[in-house]
Amino acid sequence: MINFNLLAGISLGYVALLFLVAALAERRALRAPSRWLRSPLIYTLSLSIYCTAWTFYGAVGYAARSGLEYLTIYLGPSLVMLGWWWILRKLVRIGRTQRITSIADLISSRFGKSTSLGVIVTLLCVVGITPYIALQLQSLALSFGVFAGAAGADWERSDFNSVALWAAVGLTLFTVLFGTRNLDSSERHNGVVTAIALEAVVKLAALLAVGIFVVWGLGGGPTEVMDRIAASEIGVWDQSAGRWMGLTFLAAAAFLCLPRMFHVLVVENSSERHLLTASWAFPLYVLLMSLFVVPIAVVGLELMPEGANPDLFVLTVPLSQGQEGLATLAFLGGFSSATSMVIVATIALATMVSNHIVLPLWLSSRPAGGAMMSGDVRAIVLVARRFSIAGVLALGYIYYYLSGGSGALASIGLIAFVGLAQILPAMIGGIFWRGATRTGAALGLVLGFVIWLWTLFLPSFGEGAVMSTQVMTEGPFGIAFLRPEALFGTMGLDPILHATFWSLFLNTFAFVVGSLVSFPTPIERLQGAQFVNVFEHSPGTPTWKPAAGQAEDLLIMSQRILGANEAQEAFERAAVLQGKTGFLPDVTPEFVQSLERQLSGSVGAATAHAMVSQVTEGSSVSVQDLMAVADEAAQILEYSSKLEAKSDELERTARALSDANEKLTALSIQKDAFLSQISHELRTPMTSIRSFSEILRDGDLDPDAQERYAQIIHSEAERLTRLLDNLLDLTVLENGQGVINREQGQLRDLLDRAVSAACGEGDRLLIRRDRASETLELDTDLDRLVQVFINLIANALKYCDAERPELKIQLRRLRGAYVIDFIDNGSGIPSESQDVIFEKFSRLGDQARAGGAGLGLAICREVMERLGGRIAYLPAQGGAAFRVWLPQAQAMAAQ
Amino acid sequence: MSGPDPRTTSQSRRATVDVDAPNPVFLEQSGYRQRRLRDALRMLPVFGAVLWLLPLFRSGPEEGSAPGNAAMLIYIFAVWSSLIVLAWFLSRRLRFDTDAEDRGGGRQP
Repeated sequence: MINFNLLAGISLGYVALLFLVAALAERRALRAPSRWLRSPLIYTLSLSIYCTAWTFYGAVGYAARSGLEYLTIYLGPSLVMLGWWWILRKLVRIGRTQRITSIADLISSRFGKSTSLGVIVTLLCVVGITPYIALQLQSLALSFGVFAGAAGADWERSDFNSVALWAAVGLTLFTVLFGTRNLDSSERHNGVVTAIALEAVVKLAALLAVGIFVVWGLGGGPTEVMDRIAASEIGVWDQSAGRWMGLTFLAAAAFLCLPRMFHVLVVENSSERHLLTASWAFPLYVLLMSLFVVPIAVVGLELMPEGANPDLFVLTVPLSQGQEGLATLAFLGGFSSATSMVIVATIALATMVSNHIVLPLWLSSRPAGGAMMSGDVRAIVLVARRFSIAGVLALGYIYYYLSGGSGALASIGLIAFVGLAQILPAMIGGIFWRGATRTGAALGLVLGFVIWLWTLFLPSFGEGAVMSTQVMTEGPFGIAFLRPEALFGTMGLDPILHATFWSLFLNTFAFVVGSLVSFPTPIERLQGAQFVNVFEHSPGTPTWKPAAGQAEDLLIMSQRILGANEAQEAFERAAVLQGKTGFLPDVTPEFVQSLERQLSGSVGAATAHAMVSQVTEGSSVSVQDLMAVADEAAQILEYSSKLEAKSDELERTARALSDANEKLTALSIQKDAFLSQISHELRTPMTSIRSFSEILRDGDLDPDAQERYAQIIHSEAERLTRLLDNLLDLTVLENGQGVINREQGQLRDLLDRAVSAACGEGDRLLIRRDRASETLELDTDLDRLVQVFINLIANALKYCDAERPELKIQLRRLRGAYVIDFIDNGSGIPSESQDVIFEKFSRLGDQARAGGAGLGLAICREVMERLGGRIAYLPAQGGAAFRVWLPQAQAMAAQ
Repeated sequence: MSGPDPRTTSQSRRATVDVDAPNPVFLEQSGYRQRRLRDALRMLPVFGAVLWLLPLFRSGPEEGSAPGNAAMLIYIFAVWSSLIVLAWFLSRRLRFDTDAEDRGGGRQP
């Protein structure tokens, strides 16, 4: 009898062989992309992970219990493969052009790179697949237990648990080692795929060997076996039509939606041509896998004692006949089925968990604009993936441990199928219907997921485990309408069919209605067009580019961007680093990455990535890339518009500066003019004072002349004093100095004072006033205001050239403000001079007559501005006319 | 003799127009065969599904009329094998890289 230690040794040796094969394949793939590693044969064999331990061992048990129904599990996928032109071809093309990494990525990308959809699908897959992984661990433990039992040992529960635990640990190690060795952007794993192809051969060979032994060794040939089948307890065809159709459909759906199947079908696919071979080779493989199932079941039922577990007939029948070698082969077949499924499922799940849950969390937890070097992210992704692999396997083991390895696990295969089939509407709708939207997909997925949980997954733990018996028979809160196995009163349906129908029907309904009423975002619509019309957007079959050709293409492209010399130097350096001579290094990920970085210095990161990956991947630029390029272009545009705005600002500043300069120049000219005016004004009286004082000093003058000259000197000195007073006054006013003495007084009194001061006793000027109307209480610096009035009256006195000069002074109310007009009957001021009369030293006409320095009006203007009023020349009044706006506040106070 | 024959010119012009048309009405024989191959490929799973559903019509409550599972097994595997052979035959004949018809939106002669 084969003992447990020997069996453990054989399995360890087998695992070591798998390690070796995987390692060799990885190394070969690194050195030179081998045709053999990527052949259609390997592709087809890798698809065999569809056949898990559940089908390897369980199919016989299934047949022993339910006759031919087990075939539906193979017929569905066969139909999908035979109909590859419909769906698979499109999926594979989309997977390649959009660089899809998992089924969650497919759904998320199709609906506008939606993170939430990725999370939903990932959660759905983890919940659905974890029990499935537990099932594989259970089958491993059971098959070890069979041998231990045959050797006479009676295994305890803890023995099974430890086998499952060690299996989980070993599988984690293998998967981490070969599933996360390198982070290829295409997510292809040469080592894993090759090892799985080997396992596919082993399990097929094992099942065929057992089948041949049973048919020819025990059954006595095919004809005899056919008779035995007809005579056996499963010899009558009494298949339920609903289950036959439903399960075929379910298996077909699961074949497309299971994460591990999607991974080998789409993600690991290196050429669409492989579908051509797989279309007939995969149906052939599953045909052979199911060929001897019924004979083994029938012969097993005959040979084995009552109550033997039909799930283990593949092992127990050869063992009972003393065929230890055959039994060991069968054991290895089951071992292969379980391990290959677990490895690929774990890789697929870990990819989804790390890409759709861990990475988004990590990215959002980082401050924006942090170190976003691609190398940084790579390291995080690798770590996240390794931990995800360990986590998924740990979950599987925990599930196995908690479920107690009971019969609850046996049915989990179909239950997982129903759960994963919830992705089907979103997937098929997504690749064939452009109108499908994110909202619809999310609604459908969540609704289907919830109904699956309620009607199938939770009840599968057994009555009273998660759901109480009461809920099962009477519904939640006694609502019979929502009973888990009779939703909406549909009683009498098989639980699997019931759950399949309701979950998928409501899922599809929500998906369609949600899509019809919602409106997609622009990127969703773009992605939708890219997915649905993938054959219009992407090139035909991929052409395999040898590495040298790629390097050359990269060099050509880099020369255009970096310049010939620089590009050649960079390439030569890279080649030397790789230990090669010449200008063409191997296109390794490191080289591509460094080249991308170099190029991104010139054209921006997204553009560089798009350009490089176009050469290295041979795929078209994805929408994401295009969006990134557009973003970059927009940033550049924004930057240049900012520059433009800045240069505008600079121009404005320069203009303002030159304006200021002009003003300063003008001011300086004015100052010069002012100084020369002053000196002129001062010199005139000084000259007469000097000359008359000289005459006086020389003596010999009669007293009359003496007195006259002294009089002249006196009046000139007075004029000088007045001038200096005025200048001082003006300077003080212009600088905003000087104190305002606020007083209260009547306007009429002020005018009286001004008139008497300006005209003195003489009445050469006739002043016309309406004294009665001049009642206005003022609150301002009255002396200053009087000074203004005096100046204006004095002006009229000096310049009015009429025969009988008259000055009209009148108070008016104008738009809420009080104004006083001073209008004389002279010839007025010519319009071209009206602008300058308020400037300093501006005098019009006869200088002698004026006898002033031309500072009066300038002082008036300054005073009025200081007091908060205004003075202006009033044209077209029949003479010189000035309007004084009395300060607003004072006028108000007067009311 | 000096000028070109008007008939040949007009004919050659018409020929050019036909070639430039996005969906030519007449294809050369090999292209036509390729399209029919693809049609066959499309129909294969449909016929397969129907043939595999046929046994359901045989299961009835009437006594004695129900066929044995042995016969059913042979029938199902026979259909399976024929489908595989057909798929193999089609995959050998199909020229994979001529997928220009996808642009035509399925309008085929």
